Amino acid sequence: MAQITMKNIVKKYGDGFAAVNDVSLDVADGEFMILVGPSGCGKSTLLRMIVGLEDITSGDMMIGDERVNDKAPRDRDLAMVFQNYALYPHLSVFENIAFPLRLKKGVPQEEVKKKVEEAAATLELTEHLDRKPGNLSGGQRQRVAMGRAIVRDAKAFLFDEPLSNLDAKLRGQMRTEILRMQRRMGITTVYVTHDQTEAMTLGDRVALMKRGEFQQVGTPRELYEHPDNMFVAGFIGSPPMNFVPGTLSGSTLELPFVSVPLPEDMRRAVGDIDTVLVGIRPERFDDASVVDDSRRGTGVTFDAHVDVVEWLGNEQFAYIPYETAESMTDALDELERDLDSERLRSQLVVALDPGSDIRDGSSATIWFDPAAMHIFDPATGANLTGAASSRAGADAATVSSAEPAPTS
Amino acid sequence: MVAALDLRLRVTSPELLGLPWRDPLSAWDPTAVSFRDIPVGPSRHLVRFVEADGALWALKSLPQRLAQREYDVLRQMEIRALSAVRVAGVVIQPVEDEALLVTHYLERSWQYRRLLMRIPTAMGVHRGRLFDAMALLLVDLHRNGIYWGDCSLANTLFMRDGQTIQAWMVDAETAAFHPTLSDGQRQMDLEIMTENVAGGLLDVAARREEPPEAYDGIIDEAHSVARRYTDIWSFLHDEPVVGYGDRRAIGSRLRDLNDLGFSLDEVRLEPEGDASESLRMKVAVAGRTFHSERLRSLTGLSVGEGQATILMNDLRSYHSWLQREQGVDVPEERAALRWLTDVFVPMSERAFEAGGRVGDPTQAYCDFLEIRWLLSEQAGHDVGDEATSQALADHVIPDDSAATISFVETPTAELPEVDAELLDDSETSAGPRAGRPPRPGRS
Repeated sequence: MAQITMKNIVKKYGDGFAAVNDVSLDVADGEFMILVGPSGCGKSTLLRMIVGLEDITSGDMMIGDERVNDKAPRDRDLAMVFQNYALYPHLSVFENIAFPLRLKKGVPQEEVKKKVEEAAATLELTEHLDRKPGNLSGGQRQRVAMGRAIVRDAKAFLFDEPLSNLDAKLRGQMRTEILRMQRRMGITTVYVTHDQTEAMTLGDRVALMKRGEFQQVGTPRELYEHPDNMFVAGFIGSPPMNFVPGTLSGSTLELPFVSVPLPEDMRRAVGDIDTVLVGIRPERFDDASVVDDSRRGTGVTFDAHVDVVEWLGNEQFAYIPYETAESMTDALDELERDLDSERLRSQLVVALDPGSDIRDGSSATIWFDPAAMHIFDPATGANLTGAASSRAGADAATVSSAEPAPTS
Repeated sequence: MVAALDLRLRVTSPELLGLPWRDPLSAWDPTAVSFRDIPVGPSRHLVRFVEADGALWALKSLPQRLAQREYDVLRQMEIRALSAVRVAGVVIQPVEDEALLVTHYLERSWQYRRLLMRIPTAMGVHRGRLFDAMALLLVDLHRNGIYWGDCSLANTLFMRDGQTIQAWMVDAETAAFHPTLSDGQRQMDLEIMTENVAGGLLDVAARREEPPEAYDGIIDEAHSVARRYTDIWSFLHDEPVVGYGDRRAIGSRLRDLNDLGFSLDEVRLEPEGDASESLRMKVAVAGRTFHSERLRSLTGLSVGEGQATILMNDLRSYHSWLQREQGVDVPEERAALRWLTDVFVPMSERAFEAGGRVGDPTQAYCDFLEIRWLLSEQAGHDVGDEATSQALADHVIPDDSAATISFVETPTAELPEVDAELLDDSETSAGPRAGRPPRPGRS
């Protein structure tokens, strides 16, 4: 096992395009690191440079204490999990796990047996070793494929969008299997995905990329609660954060639907910018009528016309249309492009308590706590108020075992 | 979110257009759709074969993003004339993240299990042809900047081509295009292939109940594919130093490349160091179409490179014979036309008949020529057409002959209609449903 260290890694193609542009990252021994971002952000390219599939233009790639830039993939002792997923119907589960070892000539039979049995124990496959894979459930079959990676004794596991070719049913199941295996083995893991839910639920830390650069590296909770910029704020969380234009007059922030007195620390943090974009997560709102009195006083309320309500049983979402100021459309258009998503424009998404009886087309009083707002500079996208980097004592590089933040 | 139906087909087959594209493939009614039972290996996605307007189509159900990606990669491969299944369409279904990829069924191709179940480990020559085919396919892909990512026997189909076998990529789910491949990408692809091939071969050996002692040899065979690949790759990329004016060395290298089937694109001789007499020879090759292009320009026949190699040889012998016979020089073009009408057309039909109309007439004629050569070599004199036809009809042919493989062939026209109950069997049987055919060449 080993740590993986990337120092000022650059990948430039012949045409000068930098797919990865000067990124540095330490993946600690035993850490589960996620590389996430929209398509084309450079996450897979970075993973391929770790594995040795892609030449590194400049920078140092270290595995343990060794610089591996010029090493062939097989000499890096890494295992790409699921790259070879096929199960062979006439070989026993034991042989299905063992055969990569058979390929390396000269591994003694006792060692093969020991390694396969250990892997099977980790994956709870011991009682199936003599069976044929045809008798296994979908999840168990995937575990056999993981077993193949385990017996290699790799220094780290690498996953490149491993769940993207599974159907939705297996996807959730496998996420749990991967997490369980990684926790049990404590093996350094780098995992690439474009799915923020996977990123949030699996990673010790998440490195969010855009156009070849890291936007923020931190625990899922840090990215969720303290996004450094609008891109991070918009990418993490589902449904995504609402962005509404705001105008400052004195210590009052004018939003399209309510005026909010700004707490002193926020007012100071914003400085002399007078038009801003304000981010509020849907789950930070609520139906004022179900907010208890002790909380009610800390927030503000506004009346709104509710267009549509979606009731999902354990939660419900209300959609509230509003007018976006002309001056903000450029910043929002750019964000849409970056996030590679069609966002819901000019409407607020509000998560309501499942007990709330607000209905389609009705008027409602909505509550939120101004402390839950993130205020962004529309010119740079920087989070002026709640960013991890702006908080004293925040250390984005700390490995944390924080519980994944709720995402839906 | 559920997408709207988005149907994109590159063929205008009314029956194909009329399939129930809105429904998940697993729910298609076997009494309403002409499914065909074609043995395939286990797949991570549902694959069904459908007959529409007299043609066979392979339909694969997979997530929308992947289907779109595979469609694009296969289109790119078609543009580069690489050996991959031809994609006929992609259908985004109004079903939660499901899409269908439609490809042409590769006529007269074999799945490796079918082939290997009938060729025992001991018959190394034929197995060697299979591994050469895989190695050449991977070389072709890599030369064109394609990283496969999951090269395996199961993701490849095999087709006879003269005395060689041609491998075709049938699954491009993990494939990706790059301007060029790094050495790391090629190595990784080779490693994945070696592991996959070993798994596939061991699986067949287990199915054939071969003794465990055979396993070491099987693993060597899997490693041999990578060695074959490396030999070809090095040969193509070697830059030997030749003496200025050493026409023999230059000519022999070019001929060797042609013999492998590669057409030449550019030959470059660069001064090596200070010595102006030494030149570094760099050869850029185009596709593996040297003989097939020549044959097409002479006769209009469009055949595989392996077949063309044999036919061009036959044409050359005929040309010499004709000149001797007439006592004058005969232009190659004229000899080619006479060969086509007087030799190829009647003889290919005759060979096809003699072989029981298995496969196709061109391949039958190639087999005929090979068997005649092998029998004549054994006999020490030309055995003639009659004896060759008889040998072909009686299946009394030398073991080493590539034609022995033809006896595992099942004409696609006789594919049984699918039994609805079998559709639930995820691991469609690849084993022999009928009994094993007689061992070729021994009777």
